[in-house]
Amino acid sequence: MRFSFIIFFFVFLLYNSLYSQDNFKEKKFRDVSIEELQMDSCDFYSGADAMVLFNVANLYIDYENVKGVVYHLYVHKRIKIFSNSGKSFASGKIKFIKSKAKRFSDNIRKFKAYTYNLVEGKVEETKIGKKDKFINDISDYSAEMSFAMPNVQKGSVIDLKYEIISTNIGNLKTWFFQDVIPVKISKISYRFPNFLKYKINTYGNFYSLKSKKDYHTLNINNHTFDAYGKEISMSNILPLEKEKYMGSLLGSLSRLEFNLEYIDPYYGFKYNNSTYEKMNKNLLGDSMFGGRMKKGGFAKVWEKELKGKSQIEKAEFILKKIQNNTAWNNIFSIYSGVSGKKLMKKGEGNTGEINWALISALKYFDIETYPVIIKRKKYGIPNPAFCNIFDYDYLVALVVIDNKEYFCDATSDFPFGIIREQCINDKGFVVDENYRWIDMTKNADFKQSAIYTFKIKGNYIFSDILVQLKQYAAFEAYGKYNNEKLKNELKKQFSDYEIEKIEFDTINNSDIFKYSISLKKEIEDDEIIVLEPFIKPYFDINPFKKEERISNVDFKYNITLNYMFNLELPDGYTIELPSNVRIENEDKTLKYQYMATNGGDKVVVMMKYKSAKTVFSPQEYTVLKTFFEKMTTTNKQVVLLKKLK
Amino acid sequence: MIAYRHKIFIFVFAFIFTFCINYLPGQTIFEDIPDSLLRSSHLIVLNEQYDFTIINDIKTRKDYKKDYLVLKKSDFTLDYLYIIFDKYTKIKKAKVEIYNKNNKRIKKINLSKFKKRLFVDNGTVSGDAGMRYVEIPDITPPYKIIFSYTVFKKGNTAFFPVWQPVNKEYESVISSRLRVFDNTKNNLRYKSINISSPQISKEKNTTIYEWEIKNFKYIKFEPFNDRTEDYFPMVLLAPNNFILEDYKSEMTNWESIGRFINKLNAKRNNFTEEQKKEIRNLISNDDDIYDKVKKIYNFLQQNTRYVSIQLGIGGWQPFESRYVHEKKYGDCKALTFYTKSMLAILGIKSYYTLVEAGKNTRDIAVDFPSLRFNHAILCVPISQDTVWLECTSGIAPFGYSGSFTDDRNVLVVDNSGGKLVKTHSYNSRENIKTVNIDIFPEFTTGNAAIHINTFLTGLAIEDNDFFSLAYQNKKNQRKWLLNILNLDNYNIKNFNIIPVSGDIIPKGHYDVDLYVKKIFLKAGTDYLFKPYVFNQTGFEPLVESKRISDIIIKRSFILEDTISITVPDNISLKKNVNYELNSEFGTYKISSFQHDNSIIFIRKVELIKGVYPPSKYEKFKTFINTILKKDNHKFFFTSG
Repeated sequence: MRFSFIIFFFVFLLYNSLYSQDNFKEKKFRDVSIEELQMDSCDFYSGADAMVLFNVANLYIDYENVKGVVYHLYVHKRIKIFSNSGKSFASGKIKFIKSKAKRFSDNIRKFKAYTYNLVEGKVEETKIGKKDKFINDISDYSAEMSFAMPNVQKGSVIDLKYEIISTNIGNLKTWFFQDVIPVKISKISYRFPNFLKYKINTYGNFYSLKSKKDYHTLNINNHTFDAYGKEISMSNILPLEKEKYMGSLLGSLSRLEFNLEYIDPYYGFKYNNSTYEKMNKNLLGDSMFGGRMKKGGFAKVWEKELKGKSQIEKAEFILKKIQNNTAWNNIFSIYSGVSGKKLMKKGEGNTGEINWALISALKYFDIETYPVIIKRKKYGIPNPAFCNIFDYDYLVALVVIDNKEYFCDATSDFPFGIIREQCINDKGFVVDENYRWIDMTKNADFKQSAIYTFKIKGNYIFSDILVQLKQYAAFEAYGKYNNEKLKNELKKQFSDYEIEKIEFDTINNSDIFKYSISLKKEIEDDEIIVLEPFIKPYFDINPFKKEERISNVDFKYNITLNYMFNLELPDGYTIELPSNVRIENEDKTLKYQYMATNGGDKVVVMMKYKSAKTVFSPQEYTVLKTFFEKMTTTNKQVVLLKKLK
Repeated sequence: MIAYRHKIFIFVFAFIFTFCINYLPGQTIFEDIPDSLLRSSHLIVLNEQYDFTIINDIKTRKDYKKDYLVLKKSDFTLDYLYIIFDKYTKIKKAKVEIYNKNNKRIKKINLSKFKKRLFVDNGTVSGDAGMRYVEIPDITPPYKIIFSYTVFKKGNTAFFPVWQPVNKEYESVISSRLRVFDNTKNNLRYKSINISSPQISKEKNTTIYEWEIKNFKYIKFEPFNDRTEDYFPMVLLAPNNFILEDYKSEMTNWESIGRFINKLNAKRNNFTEEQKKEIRNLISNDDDIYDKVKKIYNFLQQNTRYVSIQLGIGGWQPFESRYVHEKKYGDCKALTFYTKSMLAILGIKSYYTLVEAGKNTRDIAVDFPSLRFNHAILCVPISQDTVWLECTSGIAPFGYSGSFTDDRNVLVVDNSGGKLVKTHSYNSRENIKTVNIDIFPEFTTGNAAIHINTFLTGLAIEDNDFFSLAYQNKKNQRKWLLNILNLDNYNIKNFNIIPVSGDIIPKGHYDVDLYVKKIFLKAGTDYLFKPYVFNQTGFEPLVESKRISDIIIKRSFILEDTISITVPDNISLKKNVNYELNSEFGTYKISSFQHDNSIIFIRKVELIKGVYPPSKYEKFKTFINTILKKDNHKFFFTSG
């Protein structure tokens, strides 16, 4: 009896022990079991192409002789591949700080990785080779190490580990629990001495979040310090799926962020850039940043051409001149080490070099201009409470003319006031004596107005449509127009009619785009004529099909739509008008109005949509879905003409 | 005698002159380009020179230079320029120069600065095949690129180049020239398509062939024809004798190519006695040939895994059958040969077959024997029929290869060599999508409960990749349904996806229960409904008035719909419809009627495969546009 109970007990333990959060013990590196190789699906998320079996990290502060105080991050990760489509998860990237001064560079050490396959019942190991890893520069001070595992097959298990040693203690890497594939267990243990005060926050959704172990001491350089720390884990973490209107992936994943709040001065060492005030001061004093403001003299050659122009015309001219003579080399930076003259001669540069030429040239001609540093959308939103200079690797110009603020970017053929989509992200930091945050979405307007004029003549319905696009709507349309894509899209949109004419009215590099379309359609049944006032409007179908949403909804722009339909009532017909609708969300950031009126011999239907912000949280999703449902069904309404008997 | 001071003057003048030449105001990269080409081209090739030298029996050389202007960026604009190398091909030199619109050179990269990427072969980085490449920075067009390189190829003369100076829409060419220098005795075959025959000259022991095109104006593809050889000039080149993988052979006819394949495959069928026993145990003696082949195919599908190694790069020889049986994987050559070997153990004859596979691939040039194939399948003659086996798919129904290899000439390799055979062309009865819909409307809201039953026959199982859907989890299946149903504002209550049947003309089926909002549009006191939008043709309206190329309907198909709406006593259809359109291209039929509380809508669309001359365009245009118009037909439901 007792014996069988003991057996039962052990079997029970064994059954639960493969990976359970409570009993989880990190498996030894390169100790991959046959069970792991035989696993053929994820037990908590069916249909997964791959999953992370465990992802374990150890983060603590240490001291090295030459470098000084460093942080030490040790990572051990094991990935399982279930299908051929999952093979792409056997490669990865590790982003790190790469400085010209080696002391300030992050150091990736002891990177070891192996692929395991089950071959004829035996575990076969393949080591990653030198050719399977390479390093790409991202910006002046960041790079990423990419690796691709060899011999990956359906069923493979990848085991990898590495260490990062870094002096950038103010830039501790965010620990991501969640991924785009399911994660069985993700655990991080961190330990910091009391003299380094970090604020530690979790973001995103929680999945069985457990906080175990409290650490109270830390041994650094043979001294024991009072310390604080925890072991935090999440388990059975669902993958973040790709959705429509998704903004930043990294900004949506469950994660742990570390921000250095305070260093006890007793220990006598300083850390720069720990506050925005300090960062601002340092940048202003940096010869490759603030020092560039007065270097606009190279633009003097344009003085003659600029004579007599208004401020805005001058700014547009300078922007175009720099755009036409430089090409962006895909490197990100906020700094410039080259003169404007050299840059124009070379013909290419990074974001810092090109936009510093722009900013300094604008200032040279007395146009009020400020440098704005930006955290790109893909990396999430900036943290106003904690300053980390490495977050900002893009620079744009803020131009103020007649009390209006414009953002400008010379790295590509953007019209005046239009910038890259990755920069329209939450807030940017204006570097200036009076530094401040600025809403990067404030000018992100997408405006579409259309007038549909309908006429019934003889046996035909005639329609003349005038469309005017402004700001980002114009910019996107112009891009499509250049590829013949726009014409094809319009043909599809109006496929129900015979298109007689499409005319485009475009001015190169401007923020207005107009076009007109003439349509006609034969009347099938003149007893009842059905007219759709707005033929396939911008929000044609409801993009929100799912019941729930984990990530933010990011429309990228503040969208304004203004449509008007008018029809001269033909003789011998009565009109049946569609219903009026008016909807608004609680904080009035979404407004929609649909109104149909019949004034004597003219029918007018008007539709207005306006969104006053670009990002909506998952909590607002249900309201958003219902709003769009109401809007898309209302837009489908028709105007009926019934023949009088 | 020129005086010293005069010499200085001349020198200074010459210096200033040459200095000024480089900075002439107004010089751009557009000089001398006719306006007609500039207007809508996305890209203009200013000058292209392709020199292909057959040095001797084992060595060839390519010298290439291309000057081109990018005027507009499109989806096809290259982000990078590349040269492929492998164990036979070595890159000798290469250079890329980029000029901005003022004709100022902004970038120059020599071969040593080219980046390198190795091809990953089944997860293993292969040491000797990859590419050297240069990334093009994000410059605003217009800009000019000059790309030149020289490669040497040794030990592989089976693949001579195909020259296509232009093969995309909106690309114009000012001048492009191909020259072939043949130092061997008459080892060149060629075929000129949409271009005049070459100029042939002789220089000592070298025969020189020259083709040239000048001032080629960009082309815009016409709908219902994506055959590039209808539009573009092309030259096919092939040797008569060649070497590959230490094998010497001839390529003068299909038979000799087949013999070469036999040489490559010889002695690769080397099962051990135990393996042979295992294979014999898979079938029983009572089985007829058909069942035996089916069982072997099933065994192949269950026990092996396809691994992608491109034909040509991984070598042309299939793995030994013993190896495939042990390792349980192989590429298309290995798996096909393995299946052939297994059938041979059972005394069943089958033939290794080479094919140029792909849904929209052009057929091979039957009068130009070459090794231009990218896939291998197995041809199994059973009684009077031929069964084609796709050996790389774990889920393909037996004998079905679908649009991947249908209706084209393939090289069947038998004991005496090779011969061309045409694979099955699916007729309209073998490509049917039937949709049966039951709708239960709530006229007060305009909402409705809907039950959709879809049946797919033959090629139609490839519709939106339905084929593989049954093997995926419920979550992915639901996602698939959310994407393909042509409805708005609905939620899925229930669904069933039934795996495709295992026949040569397979059948598939799925059904869905939904609730849709506002599918009946209120129009005054009536309700508006469009019944013929559930089973779309996918056509786009034809708008052009002229037609240059042939009209091609690639594959026949049938769409059939039956929509049944259950209505309360007081609701009826205002007007019925009964319309039929017959033409040589196919037929279209819609009708409606009411029977008590059921209103029924019927639709049938049938298109017949064919190639029609441009003179038939007006008729074809009417046919397609009428279908699109009628598909949008609106019905009124009226109460009382």
